[in-house]
Amino acid sequence: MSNAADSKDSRGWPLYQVFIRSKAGLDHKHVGSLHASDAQHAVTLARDVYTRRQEGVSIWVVPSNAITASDPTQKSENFDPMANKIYRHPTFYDIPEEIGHM
Amino acid sequence: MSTFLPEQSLLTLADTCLLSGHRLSEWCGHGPALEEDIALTNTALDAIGQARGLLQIVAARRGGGATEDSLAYLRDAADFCNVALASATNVDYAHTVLRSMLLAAWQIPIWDAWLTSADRDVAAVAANAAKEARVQWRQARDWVVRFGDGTDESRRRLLAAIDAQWPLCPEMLATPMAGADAAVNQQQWTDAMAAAFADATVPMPALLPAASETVAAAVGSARLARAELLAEMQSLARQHAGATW
Repeated sequence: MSNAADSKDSRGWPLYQVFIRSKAGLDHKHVGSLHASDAQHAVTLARDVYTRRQEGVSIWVVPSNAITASDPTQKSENFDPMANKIYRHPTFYDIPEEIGHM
Repeated sequence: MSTFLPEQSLLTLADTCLLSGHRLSEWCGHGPALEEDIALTNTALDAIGQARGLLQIVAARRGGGATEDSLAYLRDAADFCNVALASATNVDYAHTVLRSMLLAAWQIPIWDAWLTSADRDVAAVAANAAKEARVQWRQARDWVVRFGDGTDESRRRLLAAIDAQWPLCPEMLATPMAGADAAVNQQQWTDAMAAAFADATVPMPALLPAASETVAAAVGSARLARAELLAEMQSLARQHAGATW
């Protein structure tokens, strides 16, 4: 499989996706990507590119080509059918008076 | 009442940080990769920030209208107290990262010693600087290992950088710094270098005596490079006195 996520830059450095956990956050959130010569180098660079303003306390990097993505051309057939299945949302319960607003 | 560390020591580290920071800033926009350019520029700002912290202290104690800016931009080259290695030219990325590694290993024990200094103003600057210097050390060492243990070309460049900069190290290690034990620091520095050079798979040369002719010649040429650096760094402030933007 080949796609844009495999792209190496002009030096042949592979692309890494960067995930940062903020001080208050429990999970690492995707913040962007960068090119680096290897994974350790990517962590080093991610510190300077993505945590310059105290954005985080922990960094993960993942080689972009390790990510398998859904096919964008299948977007409508994959996701549009959910639109009319309102019974999948928990909106059909009568909430007892004493619970109040949820 | 704070006990003041001697001005000479403060200026030695301030000027070393200022000039090495300026050298790193010369890479701004020219880094080997966008990400590396950002990382290196951050390091330059760290170094210049450390210099500012110390120069503000020196200026306040001198009084008489001295400011961090007047010390940085209106002082003559002969009055700068940096270790010679700080102004060594960039040449290429191998020279740049080697210089950062050699300087950081020397600075870390000094910042650490100043952390607990009775000179409270200096200790406050050291609190942040000791951490920043460790990042600089780690990043630079990482690159030195990659250069040494990389391709024939990268190794050749690192060896050339060692040839150029190793003779500057004895002068740096012999520079007296108040509050720090030079002999202990030199031993720590040498141990750290031995490990880094081993990881980089390059031989570590013996340190020459600080008084040797080779060292004097290397220091002399770094001083010439410093004059050129200052001519550029100070040109704006000297041509447009008090310029702001």
